[in-house]
Amino acid sequence: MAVQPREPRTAIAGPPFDPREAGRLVARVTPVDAVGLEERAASLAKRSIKREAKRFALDLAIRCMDLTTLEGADTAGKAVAICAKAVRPDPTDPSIPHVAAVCLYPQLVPVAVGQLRGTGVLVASVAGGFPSGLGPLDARLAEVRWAVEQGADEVDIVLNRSLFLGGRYRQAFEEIAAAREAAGDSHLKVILEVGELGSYDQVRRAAVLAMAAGADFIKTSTGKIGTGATLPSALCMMEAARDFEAETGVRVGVKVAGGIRRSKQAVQYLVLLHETLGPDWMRPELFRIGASTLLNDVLMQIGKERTGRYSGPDYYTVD
Amino acid sequence: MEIEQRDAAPARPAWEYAAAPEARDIVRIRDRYGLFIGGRFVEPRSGRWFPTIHPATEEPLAEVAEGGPEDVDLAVRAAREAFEGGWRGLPGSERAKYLYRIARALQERSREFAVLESLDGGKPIKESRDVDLPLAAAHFFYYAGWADKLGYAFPHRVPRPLGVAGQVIPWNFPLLMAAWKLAPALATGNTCVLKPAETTPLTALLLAEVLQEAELPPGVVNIVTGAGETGALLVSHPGVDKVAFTGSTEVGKRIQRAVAGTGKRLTLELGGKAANIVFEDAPLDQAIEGIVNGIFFNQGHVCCAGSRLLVQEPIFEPLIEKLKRRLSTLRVGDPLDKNTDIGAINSRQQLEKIEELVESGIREGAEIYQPDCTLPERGFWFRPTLFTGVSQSHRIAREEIFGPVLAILTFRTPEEAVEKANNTFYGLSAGVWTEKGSRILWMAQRLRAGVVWANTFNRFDPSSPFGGYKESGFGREGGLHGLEPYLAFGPAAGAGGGRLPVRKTYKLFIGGEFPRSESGRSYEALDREGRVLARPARASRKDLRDAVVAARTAFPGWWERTAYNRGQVLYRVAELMEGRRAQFEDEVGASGWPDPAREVSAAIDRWVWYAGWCDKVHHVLGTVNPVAGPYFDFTIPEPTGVVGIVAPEEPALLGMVSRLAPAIVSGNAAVVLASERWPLPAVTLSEVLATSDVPGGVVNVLTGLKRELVPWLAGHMDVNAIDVTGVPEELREEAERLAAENVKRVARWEATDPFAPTAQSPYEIAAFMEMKTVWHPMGA
Repeated sequence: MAVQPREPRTAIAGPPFDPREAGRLVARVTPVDAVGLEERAASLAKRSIKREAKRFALDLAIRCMDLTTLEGADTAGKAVAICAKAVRPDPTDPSIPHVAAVCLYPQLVPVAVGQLRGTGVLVASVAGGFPSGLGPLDARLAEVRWAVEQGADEVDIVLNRSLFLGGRYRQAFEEIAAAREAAGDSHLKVILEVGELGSYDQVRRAAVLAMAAGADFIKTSTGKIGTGATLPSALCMMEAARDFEAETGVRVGVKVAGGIRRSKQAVQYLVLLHETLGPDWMRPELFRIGASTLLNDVLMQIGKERTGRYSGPDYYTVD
Repeated sequence: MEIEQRDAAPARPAWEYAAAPEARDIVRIRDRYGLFIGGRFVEPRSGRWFPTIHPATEEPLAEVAEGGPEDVDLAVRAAREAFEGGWRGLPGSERAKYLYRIARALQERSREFAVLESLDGGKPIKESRDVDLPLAAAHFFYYAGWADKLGYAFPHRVPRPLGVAGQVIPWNFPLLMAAWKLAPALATGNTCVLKPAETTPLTALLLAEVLQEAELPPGVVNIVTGAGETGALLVSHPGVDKVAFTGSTEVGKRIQRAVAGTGKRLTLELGGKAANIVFEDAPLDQAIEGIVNGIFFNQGHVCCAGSRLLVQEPIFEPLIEKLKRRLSTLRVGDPLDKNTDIGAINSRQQLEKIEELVESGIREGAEIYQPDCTLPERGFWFRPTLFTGVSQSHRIAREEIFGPVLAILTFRTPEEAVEKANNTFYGLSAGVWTEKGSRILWMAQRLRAGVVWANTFNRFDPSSPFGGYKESGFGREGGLHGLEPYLAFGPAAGAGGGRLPVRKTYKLFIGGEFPRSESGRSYEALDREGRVLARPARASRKDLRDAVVAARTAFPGWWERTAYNRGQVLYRVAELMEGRRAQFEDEVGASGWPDPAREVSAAIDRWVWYAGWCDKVHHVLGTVNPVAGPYFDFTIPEPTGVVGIVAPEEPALLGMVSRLAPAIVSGNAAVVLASERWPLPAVTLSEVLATSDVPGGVVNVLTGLKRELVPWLAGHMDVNAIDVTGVPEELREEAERLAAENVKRVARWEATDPFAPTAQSPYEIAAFMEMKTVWHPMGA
């Protein structure tokens, strides 16, 4: 396998905003009408993506993928396997690109770093008391620092929903800002856990809060509760990111995760991205799909596009 | 013309959607289509044919027959035969089954219809597929269910069909409009002659095949294709009992004039210039979608399009930026491509009209914006267009463009938004975008439009009544209210005679005062033996003008009172009438009327009865509509404004009360032309009103010569509705024709026995009301 130079890290989105400025942004978040948002998402999901447009989308879905394993049962062996899959998703087809990153628990970061050196695939670690974020703050920050020290290029933390839903926005903001500092040069992804926020107004407010606190990415879900990413919640976050750039000049990426298993879903998220944030966001630096089983479905679809025949799961590796 | 064309978003095209055309071969288009008369396709007697084309490529699709006078006559006869020969007598449950069959067939063949609709009309397939077809099928389903339940729709009344309905429909939603027309007409037991639009006849002709397959009895529905000429022949055919038209206000007025005096029932669904009002606290991204949907849905060929955008000043700039950016993502092109957002303009003629109005916008100094998009070479196309810097006086802010052109204005306060929104002679729809619930209801109450969409736009549902205020037409389609225009409720008659006991000056009653006629003239009111009973004032044109001004001035205050308060004030009038009983009896008796005591009692009782409806009419006429989707949808009745009442000649008092009371209980102000022959009780009733708490101007009573007054009243542009019950036969046609000048609602009292309990009804109140439907999403 050819050794590729390690991709230089893109600069982080920037330091946290002054809390007063952040408070101003959070206080006048644009309201969201749930029915209208859902209708728009449903209408974009009906776009018919065919032939070369579909091939482009499937290729991009892989390039933007955070191949994820977040099980208590994960072992070094599992980490090695997933890294191999990340670098070379289809051993029979070298034209398939590698994924953006692998995403795992901190303990497995050293294994992944060793496997992925020079491949261009980044190592992302969840940290900060994932998935609830309710441990002692010091311990959570220490976990972020530790993951970075072990070589994680990216850290996925969670928004403190307990503080946020209790209306303690300032504290929730300060926790993320502290994690931003703890993450140093590594990218910080902030998981909003939209399935717990209760309304799109709150999704949008949480997105603005996280962006103002220095998130490089805002991410929909942990994948650990019943509701993961949904098209409307992703659309809501993309609209927030778009307006955040217009207002502050800061570009923040969007990561969708949780329950994305089929190529069709991935293409639908790309359509939302394309028609909301535009062509500029259609790259791994600003968009990610977090998934564990999606990759093989995408490979199967690529195979179908190439050969004109539907394949079966036995033809793709399970890592 | 110079037009700024640029893309708001930074151009970095990375992902082009590949063409995703819907297959055309699903639909087989014949070379030629005859007329559908008596259940089969026949050659036109006119011997004439015209081509219909695909507006996106200008390729001819088929030749279609042009119905001439003989053809229209044959179609109306076929409909009459089918009506008399069984359809009218068929149990509702049987009629329902035919409608269910049609609904099912539309669902089964929906893609075929959708492709044909997009081919013939140019609209994007995603709209014909996801909007036109599901709604058309749903309309047949919905009205199928009413066919055997009409007794529940109109309690205490015996509904019967009118006969033959002549229905003329537009080219913007060809199949859907056919469904809107046919479904309620057939459910209520009428038979139909349908005239599709000249440029889009094909889906109606495919529908004819469906009707054949559904084994609908021959002649129940006849389809006569042709242009405006054919439509004019149809609506003026003497064998037609009911005319239903959807189209431009200009043609609607012509039809109202043509129908005048014929006794035909009429509903008009005409043009619009809807305001879409965005407040600074609105859910902006959804508002953007609503604005885009409001004006670019179906290329803006939508009568209820949100063609005027009113933006609150603080958010003007960010909103325009968002809107421009959103426009750059709109995909204009092949209507059959599943990803197309904006299709072809329906016809060259329409394209030229849009271009002309857009040029006027530029000339008048508005600033134009169009996104950069490539348009196909052949066919009729127009870029989505925004105009900023528009003022109310610009043509693009006043005239219906019926194309993808949005005029953007600003406002500062809710009052100003309402004022600007209502400052149009149209009144079909309106949109309100704000997070504040109380403001939505405040706005919804004040907007003079038949449909108010709150935080949404362009929603339709068969259970939700749709139709206009002012020159946007009258009558409602959809919902419970959509049945009424196709039904009659009982036959009609009258009788009378008398002598005058007292002599006094009989003056006019205007704005709460009793002036003499400005003309200084009076006329002789004679008894049955030809003796002069009195010389009541002979109102002039200026008196009439003053009366309308007084009514217009009084209207808002009267309407704003609580219904409960209006009820009490009106009840007090009945008390005062009782006190004047002797005088009323003398005056009624002077005419030689057989039993004056009975009439006066009936008149007082009727007044009491109507007064009691003030705070109940909403229970009967208001509905909550079970629309599909997460929407709370309700219809509220509202007064129409200034009502002109031509009181029946006899019975003079009971007749006037029976028309005046239902008009004012809901909050209208009225100008009454008293019985010409027996004017005296009307003047006395004015005196009662003057001593009551009814505010001056709510009721104005003019005595005089109907042949002078009726045309002035019927032609007055600030009168919203006219009751023609008392219009002399020879003036009937002229009055109804003049009513078309500003599309007045025309009401008529059809009671056979004016004393019978059936002569009073909440639906008489409804005749002077508008139905406003409000849509509001339900989301957390």
